[in-house]
Amino acid sequence: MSMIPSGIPKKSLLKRVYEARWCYIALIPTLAMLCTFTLYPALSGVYRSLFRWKTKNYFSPEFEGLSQYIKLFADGDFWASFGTLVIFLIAGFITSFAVNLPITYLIFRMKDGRAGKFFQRAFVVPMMIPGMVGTMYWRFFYQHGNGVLDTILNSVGLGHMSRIWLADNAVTLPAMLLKGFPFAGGFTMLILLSGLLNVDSALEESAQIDGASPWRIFRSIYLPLLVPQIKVLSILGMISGIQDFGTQLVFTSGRYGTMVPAYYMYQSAFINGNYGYATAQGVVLFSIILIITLMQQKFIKRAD
Amino acid sequence: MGMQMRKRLSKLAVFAILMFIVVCTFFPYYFMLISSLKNNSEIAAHPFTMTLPLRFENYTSSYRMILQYLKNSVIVTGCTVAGTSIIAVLSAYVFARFNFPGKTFLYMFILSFMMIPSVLTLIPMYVLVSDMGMIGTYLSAILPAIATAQIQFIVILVPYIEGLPQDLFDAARLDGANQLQTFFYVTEPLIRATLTSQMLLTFLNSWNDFIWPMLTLSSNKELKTITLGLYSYRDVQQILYGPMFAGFFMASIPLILLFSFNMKHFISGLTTGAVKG
Repeated sequence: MSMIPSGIPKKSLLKRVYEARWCYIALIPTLAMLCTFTLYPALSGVYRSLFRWKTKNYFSPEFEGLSQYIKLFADGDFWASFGTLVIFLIAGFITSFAVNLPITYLIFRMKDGRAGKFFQRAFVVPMMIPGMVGTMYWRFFYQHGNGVLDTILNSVGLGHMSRIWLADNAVTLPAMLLKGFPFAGGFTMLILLSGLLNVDSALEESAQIDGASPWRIFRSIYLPLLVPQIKVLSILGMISGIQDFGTQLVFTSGRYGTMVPAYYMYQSAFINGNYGYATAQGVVLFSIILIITLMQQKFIKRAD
Repeated sequence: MGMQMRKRLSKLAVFAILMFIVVCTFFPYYFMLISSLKNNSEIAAHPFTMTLPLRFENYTSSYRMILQYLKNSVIVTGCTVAGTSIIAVLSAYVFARFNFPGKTFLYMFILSFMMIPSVLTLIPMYVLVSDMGMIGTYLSAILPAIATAQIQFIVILVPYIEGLPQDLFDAARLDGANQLQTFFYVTEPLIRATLTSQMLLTFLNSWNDFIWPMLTLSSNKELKTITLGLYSYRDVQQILYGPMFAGFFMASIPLILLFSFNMKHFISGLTTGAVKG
């Protein structure tokens, strides 16, 4: 209090709120949208997961406590889909960094030369193609008989290796993991590039004077400084990977060992009409994402 | 001399490796483009080369349908981007430039929404929107998308606007500028790169969105967005591949145009330290 000069009396809270009324008014659209389309659905999702709520009693759900959760924990298919999800997440992590880390570094080393600019732009192009075009292309790629893959196999005399790629328990999951080859460019590359551009170039210069090789410079200087970007991209990839099931829907409808939990939830609600059961699955997935986010924040705080 | 040679060779090798990956990345687009000008038997006989005559009729046969899908996508995405930008910039500006009681609480409140994933809200949101009677209207796709997209927008913009030098705002006030003028003449030009890249990201997300429009729009055939339209090629029996690939190509044109005009802003907006730890 002693900081405030005695000549200026401290204004009352009400007065300060009144003076800032335009600030609150300006925030109304944001808050109204969030409360209507995010907060309310989230709360009602948690609440409705305690009900027996199906298409046939859509307007009169019956309270059942935790019975949806008990049923869910005994549901082997739901937990098996988690195993598949983990495979998708790990493969996604490997494919996005194994290609993008080296090529981003190579492009970065070209500096702003003509070649560097060309590659920078070329690798942004995949972002400009609608995702569904890519997905549908890869569906055609794997199409049995006249798809791109079978055409290539036939033309090099390996036609006998052809399978029904997207309807075969043994090969469908690996085929889906390889969708998008060579996994280069896009958002991942831009964020990694931004990380490299923020590194103080004096570090590299002094390493060069010490005679360090480009590989050594990458491993000892750039890679450690890229850890924040890699962390953020992996967490974002994990959180969106848990929720995404577009490719499964287009390729296999979740059959042939490609079912993931978010799709299982979707089917419970919109195919089987079991809304209560589906919202319970949503709550479980939310809890998992929350744990990952909290762990990551603790992780980053400790690293700082 | 030997050193020079080695340097040049390694440069060439790097170029060759990158070029190879570029070729692999672009192969699908090359394949779709040449296939869009063939009929089925030409695709089967010469899959990887151009064939004559170029069958432009593939384009004329599907352009009307694609145009309808594109129109819907432009409406849904355009409204989503406009709505998101307006309310998010307004909120971000208020948080960054003003002090008011409860500011920290409100900001944390908005930030906490980042913790709510769409997988939790998908089903209740569908129920809500359908109870509101919005299923099968553009609004059902637009409003929830704005609510979700604005959070990241605000989170990126607030520190950016806060970081602008106070002198600029003082100078503007001395010159007698009101808040609106200060925003459009002082703030907006300085945050333009970040603003553009955020708008483009919102655009991309909305344009590529699949599950939510499928739930809310596909009941009304007239309202199908481009993503849903492309998806419907999945169900066609006895498919004609030429027109399908022609459709894919036409569907890509708007995004390609939009990005070619904004590429510089997009890259610089995303690479000037958007993500730090």
